[in-house]
Amino acid sequence: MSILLAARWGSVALMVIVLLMMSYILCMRAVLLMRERRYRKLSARWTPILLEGGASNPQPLPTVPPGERFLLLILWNTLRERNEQDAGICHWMGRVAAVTKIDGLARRLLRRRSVRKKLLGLVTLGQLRDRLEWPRLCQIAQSGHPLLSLAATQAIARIDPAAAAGTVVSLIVGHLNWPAAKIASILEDIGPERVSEPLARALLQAPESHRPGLIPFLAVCNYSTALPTVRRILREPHIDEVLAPCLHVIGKFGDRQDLPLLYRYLTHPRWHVRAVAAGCVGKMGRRADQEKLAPLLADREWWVRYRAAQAIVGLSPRDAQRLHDIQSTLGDRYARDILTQAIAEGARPAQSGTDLSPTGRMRIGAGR
Amino acid sequence: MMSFFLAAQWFFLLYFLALNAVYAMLILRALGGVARYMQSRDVAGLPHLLGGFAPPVTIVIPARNEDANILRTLHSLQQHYPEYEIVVVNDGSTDRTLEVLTAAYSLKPFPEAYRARLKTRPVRAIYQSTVDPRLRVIDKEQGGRGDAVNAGVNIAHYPWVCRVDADSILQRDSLMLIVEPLLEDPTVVACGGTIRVANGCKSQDGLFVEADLPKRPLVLFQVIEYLRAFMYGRMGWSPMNAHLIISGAFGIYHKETFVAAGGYRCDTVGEDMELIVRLHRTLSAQRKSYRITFVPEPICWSTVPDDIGKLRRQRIRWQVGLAESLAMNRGLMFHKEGSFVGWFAYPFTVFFEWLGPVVETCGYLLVIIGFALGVVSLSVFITFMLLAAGFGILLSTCALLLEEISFHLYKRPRHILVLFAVAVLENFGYRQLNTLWRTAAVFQHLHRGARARLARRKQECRA
Repeated sequence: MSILLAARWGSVALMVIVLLMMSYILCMRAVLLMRERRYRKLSARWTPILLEGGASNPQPLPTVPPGERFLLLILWNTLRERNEQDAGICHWMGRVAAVTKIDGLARRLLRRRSVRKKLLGLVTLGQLRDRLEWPRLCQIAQSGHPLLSLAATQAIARIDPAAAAGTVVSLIVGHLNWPAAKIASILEDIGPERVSEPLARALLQAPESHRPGLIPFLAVCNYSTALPTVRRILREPHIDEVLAPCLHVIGKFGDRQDLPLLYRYLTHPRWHVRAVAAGCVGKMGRRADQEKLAPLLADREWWVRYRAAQAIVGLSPRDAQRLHDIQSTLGDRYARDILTQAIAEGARPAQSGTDLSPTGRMRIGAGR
Repeated sequence: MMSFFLAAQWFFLLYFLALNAVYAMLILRALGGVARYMQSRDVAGLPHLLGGFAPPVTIVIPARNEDANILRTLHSLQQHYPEYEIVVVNDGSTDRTLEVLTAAYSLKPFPEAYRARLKTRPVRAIYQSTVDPRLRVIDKEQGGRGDAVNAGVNIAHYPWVCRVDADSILQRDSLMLIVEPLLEDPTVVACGGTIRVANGCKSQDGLFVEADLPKRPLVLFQVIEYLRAFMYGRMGWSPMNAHLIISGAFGIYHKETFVAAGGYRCDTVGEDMELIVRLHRTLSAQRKSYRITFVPEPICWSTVPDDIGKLRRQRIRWQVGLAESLAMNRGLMFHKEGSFVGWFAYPFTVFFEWLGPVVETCGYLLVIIGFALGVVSLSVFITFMLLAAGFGILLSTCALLLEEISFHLYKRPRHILVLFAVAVLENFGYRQLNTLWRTAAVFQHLHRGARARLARRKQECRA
């Protein structure tokens, strides 16, 4: 009987909870619709003002009620990002932010508990190049929160790239679990001329196990820093895991002085090293290198055969006779087939199955 | 008799409490997951931030007798994405699928050095489009969807393979969104997208335009089911790296991991689920650091059955697929390296997803029989029914709440009211019908298994 009673009250309680939840959902929807209406109105009024950056005689700015300042901040960020390339508009939007005091709001948001609001504050300060909260930004960048620390690092890089380069590189070394694509994007924001030296230094001082994760970022650096760093790593005793990322950097800069080094790796026991080396030789080599690549057409690994075939075709793309001559010397059926395919593909730019770069592409090379 | 009913009453009560406790846990995890996702989506939106770093992707579309849909699907794959190729696999179609493709994309035979890393039914020819060099078509003998995808993976150039069903509708940025977890976490080996019901929605030239609700009640019930399945089913398991399925309609896989696992199996009707359970089993046994994850944003819209016969067949197929996937990977259950998935998600799926319909049917039968025999009073009968319906409505309302705090795709207030009504009404008839079909599927699978074992034993005796 007691179970029955509990079940009866349980079902009543369930119904009450369901009704409360449904009412809550309806209230949320009402608030959302109201907010969207307010945002639409605000957007209709402020979008032309924010985008009149180029106008010679801009109109005086309307006052912003404190309750609408947060919505204006969202609109400001949306338009700022959309018009990133237009310096006139960006400059004008910076002035608008100061007059409407949304810069102050952004600074205050850094002290809010909501992660969402903090993120909005960080992005805005980055866009505004606002240095006033620099120590606070550095503090957030060093925090353990994955999103906030990354957003703060990005803001620092935008606000003062010159001052940020060293700090950002040390933050990256300490946060190798950050998404590689985002790190590369931040380094690109800072610029190769500023980031090259600190990155190369950090790389050479980093423990051996950290290097494979850091080397791909050399692709963002200057030619004059990246190549000597890679060559030095390859000259010194190293673990095998650094090879493919190093070769990728060499391939990216394409200095023919490195060809002898690449030839050495065409016979490396790790297949992805052979594949990257073949791709690099195809990019940087001469016609005579086709002979060095031909044995790889019969490699036991398909990707090595494919990269070698692409490289051979790429070294004499318009010389069909030469390619057919090479093909006729091949005894192995797989080698002939792969070369036929590469010829048919018309020596299009190499597709990136084993490409290594500071993106997800390097994953395949990791041979997981 | 009385003591039997009392024991049964306790059994069902405890089963019911355990099931709903897990659901409550999943809902809480999903709430946290949705909140985190919405935060990161706010300001670190992928399309503008990571566009240049997205990995190249091979999209594989298995197509059998899809001459009516295939061009629309290919059109929807004109994605805002830096580098991708499309491989359509004509899986022994008996209609004009290949002719339609040849005419529209000017296909020409291509001397591809086909590399059969995954065994498939024989490939007749490989074609390349002369209009769009990113498109290749494999023409092969029929082997089923899994076999077709395996063939596509064999000629994929890129390190990530995205499977898309030929009747799916994608958004322009779907591909960009589904690769986000791969960029965020290098241990991700597979990622699924959220599927929603396309019936009733507005689309143009194969691309999704606006969400709307379908008119037919049968389809409306499925809208709520999909919301439940994805909003807290997948979203709840995902943070624990424990969800056991990536829908075949839209998912992305690390190619080398896919190949190393042996690709899709062709001897099951639930090849999509079986692969994910197998990946969990093999990768955890190898002590590899991996994640199988999920994007909560609705990025793929799929047409669902709009008549009861098709729905029945689909549900039976799903339940048989579930049973086969679990049976083929039973080694995962309580495996010492199985972590959360082996010790919790897999047993939960066995006891509550596979056996759940049988228990639910027995519960209904027992109450009805008891009521007929006079052992169960009318008030107990009504309380039982109210409690069962109440939990059902609560779970659906939680899914609606999650949808409201995240994507609120159904824009009009009328939509919410309709969904509330559907969340209530589905508990009176539709849910029980589904349970019956799934129960039938459980026995069908057991019967088929017994027959197979018998055949094997006879063969062994003869040998």
